[in-house]
Amino acid sequence: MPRKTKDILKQIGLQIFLLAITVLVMFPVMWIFSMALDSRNIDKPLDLTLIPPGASLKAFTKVLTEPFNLLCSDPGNVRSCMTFGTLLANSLLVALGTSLLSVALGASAAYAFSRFKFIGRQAGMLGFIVLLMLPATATLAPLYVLLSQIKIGAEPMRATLFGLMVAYASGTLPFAIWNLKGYFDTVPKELEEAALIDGASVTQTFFRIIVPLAVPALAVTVLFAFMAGWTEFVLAWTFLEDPSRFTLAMALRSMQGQFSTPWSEFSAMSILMSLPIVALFFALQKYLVGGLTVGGVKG
Amino acid sequence: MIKKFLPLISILLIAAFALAACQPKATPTPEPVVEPTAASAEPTAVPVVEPTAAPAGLTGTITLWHSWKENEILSLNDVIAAFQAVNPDVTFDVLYVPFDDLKGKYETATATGGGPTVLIGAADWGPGFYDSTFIADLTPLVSDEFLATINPAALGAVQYKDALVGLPQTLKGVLMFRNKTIIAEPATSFDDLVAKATAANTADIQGAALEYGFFFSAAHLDGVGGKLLEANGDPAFNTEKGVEWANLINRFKETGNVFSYSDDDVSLFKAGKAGIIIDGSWNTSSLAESIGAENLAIDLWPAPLSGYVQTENIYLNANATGDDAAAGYAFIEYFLSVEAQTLLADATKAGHVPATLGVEVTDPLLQAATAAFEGGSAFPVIPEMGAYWDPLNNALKKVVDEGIDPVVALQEAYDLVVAKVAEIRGQ
Amino acid sequence: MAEITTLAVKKPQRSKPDPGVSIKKSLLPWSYIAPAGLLMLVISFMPQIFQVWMAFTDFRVKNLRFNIFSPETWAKFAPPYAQPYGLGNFIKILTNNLALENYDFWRLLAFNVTWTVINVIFHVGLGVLIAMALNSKGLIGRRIYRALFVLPWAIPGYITALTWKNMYDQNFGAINFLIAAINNTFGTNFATNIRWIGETTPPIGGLLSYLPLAFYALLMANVWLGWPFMTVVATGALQSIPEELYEAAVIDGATGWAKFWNVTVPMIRPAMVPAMMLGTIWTFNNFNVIYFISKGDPFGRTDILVTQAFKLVFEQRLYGVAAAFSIIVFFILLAFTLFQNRITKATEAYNA
Repeated sequence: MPRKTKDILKQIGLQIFLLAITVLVMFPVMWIFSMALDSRNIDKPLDLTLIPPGASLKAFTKVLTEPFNLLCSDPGNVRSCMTFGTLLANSLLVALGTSLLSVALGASAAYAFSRFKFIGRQAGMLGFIVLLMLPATATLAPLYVLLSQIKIGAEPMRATLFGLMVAYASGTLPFAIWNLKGYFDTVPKELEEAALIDGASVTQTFFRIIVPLAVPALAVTVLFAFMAGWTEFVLAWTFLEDPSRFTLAMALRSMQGQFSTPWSEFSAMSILMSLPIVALFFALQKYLVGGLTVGGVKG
Repeated sequence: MIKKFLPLISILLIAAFALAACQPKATPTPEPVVEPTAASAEPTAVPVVEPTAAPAGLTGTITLWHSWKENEILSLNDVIAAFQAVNPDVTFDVLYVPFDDLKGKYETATATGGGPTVLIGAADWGPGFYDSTFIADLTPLVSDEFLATINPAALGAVQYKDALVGLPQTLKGVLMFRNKTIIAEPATSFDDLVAKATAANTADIQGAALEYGFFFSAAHLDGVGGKLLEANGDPAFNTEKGVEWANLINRFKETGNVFSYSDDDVSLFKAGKAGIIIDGSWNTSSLAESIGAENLAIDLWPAPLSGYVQTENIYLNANATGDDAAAGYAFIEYFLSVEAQTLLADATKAGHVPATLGVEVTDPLLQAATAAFEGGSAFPVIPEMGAYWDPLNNALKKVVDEGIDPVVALQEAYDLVVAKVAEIRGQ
Repeated sequence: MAEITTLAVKKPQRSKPDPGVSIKKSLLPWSYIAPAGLLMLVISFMPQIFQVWMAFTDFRVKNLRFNIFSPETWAKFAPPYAQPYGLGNFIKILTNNLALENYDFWRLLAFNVTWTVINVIFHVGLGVLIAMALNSKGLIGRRIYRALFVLPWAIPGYITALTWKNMYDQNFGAINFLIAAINNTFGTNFATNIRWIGETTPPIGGLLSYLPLAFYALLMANVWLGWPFMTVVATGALQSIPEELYEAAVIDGATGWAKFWNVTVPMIRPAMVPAMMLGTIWTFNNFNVIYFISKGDPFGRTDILVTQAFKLVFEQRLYGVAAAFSIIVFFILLAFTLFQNRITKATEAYNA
């Protein structure tokens, strides 16, 4: 067979395979879209159509423009109710705060584990493993008590967005530290040593040499922490008491009723909530490949 | 690496375990004395309020947690506004919490010494909350005259261990809904229901799409003359009547597809593709909206079917003290006044069936619901009820879906319920 | 995503606690660790210690009023110690003496292990296969595929789980609709009212009869969710294979399969092994998929250990037993990882 024919056949085979995978990937996604477009707001579409009868963007408009009447500081006053914009602002704050805490604290600790020999190094790393493997099933109540004891001003830390960020960061930090440490290990020590000889401080070398080289791993840390902060709602619903601090994930949860769910709005909200993460994934995709593997490859 | 860590891990954990295991031994642990804590703490905490309709000079902040939906909040706001008109110095801090998260949030917050002043929540939370000293006994606060204004059947749902753990603020329950355009006349008996439903079956329409999840079908047991449990919480369903009940539910299949804790029946009904469904009274307004209120009927239960009637309660937090507690209680009492109950019964808003006597209801669907509730059976409100849900739901699924002999399925459920009841009682 | 770990990320050089390292020298690195360490100590470690303690007591909801910092709550609200020997909760769990429907610890464990192993095999297999397809030379539309294929990972797990549950519905689920559509188009006659979650007759009998249809439905959903992560990892590894290795293999007369086994597999192995271990822990405790799609149905046969523990806390409020469950899960995971480590080590030696 001539090389060219072989290439074409191979291309056709690949395309068939990848298109099949695409169909499988897109089927559930399309189902969400179909429900979001359904103006009947019923539990489930009664048949399989991409564009349901009477399709409209009503659910999207409602979620985006109308206030969430359940989430109000003063239910009697519609102006005090949360809107998509205010919820989005809180979500961004929590997600970015979680990312910042994870990346800053994680990089600092990972650097120490990667570059220094010191007393308690193994015990420190061990502590992180133990925490990773113990499921946190029954820890919600003790955490609540604990964070209620710590006060920020007159308020317990538990009821603040900062409290949430700290709680989420504690979930993302173990992975962040391990992944970052693995990545730092691959950065040749010689580079820093040269800088140190030139008279730079440890902090300076860290920021000038390590950070620029570790961008992929840092990006992965940011992505994971952002996802954690963006999607969590159980802790948030247990801890927060002021509706002006509520997040999109909490609003999504509040749409899932005890007895019935407005599925069109739920789906529309799901799509809107997924968009920023999908966008972040696309933006960081080139780092994702490097930032995850190297942490693992280095044996 | 992990291998190297193993001894360390073991030592660390064994040390932690040893420490932990010792602690309870070191401190002798008397069983928490439940009764006096709530009862004795309350009278000192809450200044005795004269139970009048509008106590004057109230101040403080009432924090209220609930899981009401948007249409219900409209009525809640009306009630709050009316209360504040009389008590301008009382401020409100109202928080919606999704139903699935509300119970846990209230428990953790209250256990930590916080939580709302007033909680609107399910009736079956009451006993557990009271045993855990999360809610106040209202006995010292209410007057006999006031209690006499409340529907006695509803009042049964808040009396527990000689205490009044809350007040019932609305009746809710399981109802039979009918789309008049599909089935014109109400069924007079179960056989009649099957006949009417099968006659209405078409390729597209199911005459009756019956729900048989335990909550929706448990009351049929009372309907056939049986009993789920004794007053003390011991199981009483494992009898011939129980078998009759399971067989009755198995007969639901004669109408076509049956549903266990599924919203599919509701979806069908809303789409005009089901003639009769069994569903909760809380869905009345959304069903009416979907098929048109003029087409919706709420039927009296055709014998021997029946439905659970529950209350939804309003509770006073055991942590509430001082002005807040006084205002909180005054609000609770106001909530059950004819005035407030009339606001809550507004069919265009909450559409709640009143728990107070003498409230005039004009909406035909609300009237029909009230009438159907009279033929329903009371939902048992005791902690032991928690032992019944899953075992009996599984038993019904086994009978209906798997074709297992009801005698066998009920015996299995019975054994498990006995064990779970013992667990709940802490034995 | 919270349960992520890289146990497998092995340290490059063993830095044994050097007796020469002085306390003074240790201060600087510890000051770098301090912020993260302090946060973890307060937010994760202290509640975990509390959980370990709870596991030895009969902790119930009323004991939530117990507060270590206030002595007067000790007398009133301290939970009784779990009889006998404080190990009562563990004994009850392991001897199937919990008052729970369909509870059988060993079945749960067997299911959990099966669930994990099969999922990880599919994730890795499919992940590598698709990564290789995406990595082929001259592929048209590579960027589009790459972008689309990240979707299952990027959409929040809660949303995808609820969507799959919706799709598996017996009456109005997308899957049964799809089967009906296929019947209509091709004149086939497949059943269109399959109870994907509720069916109790196992589709495969014999040894696999402990796996109900719901298992395969859950597997499908979880494979859908899990492979993109493996693809990303495998892509990185594939890209780092020098082209010369393949060229050399071709000169040696290697064809497709031989190239795959002799070049690709050994080269991506170092990246895939840690990712597999990560995936193992992830899947072992994959709460969202099980809880939101099947809730353990039919009759608890698709419950895994963490969903059972969750039900104990959130439905029964038996904090003590749930805490004991968490500790048991910890030890199982530890054993599982050690075992996996062993196996991979053994095969490593064999290959070499």
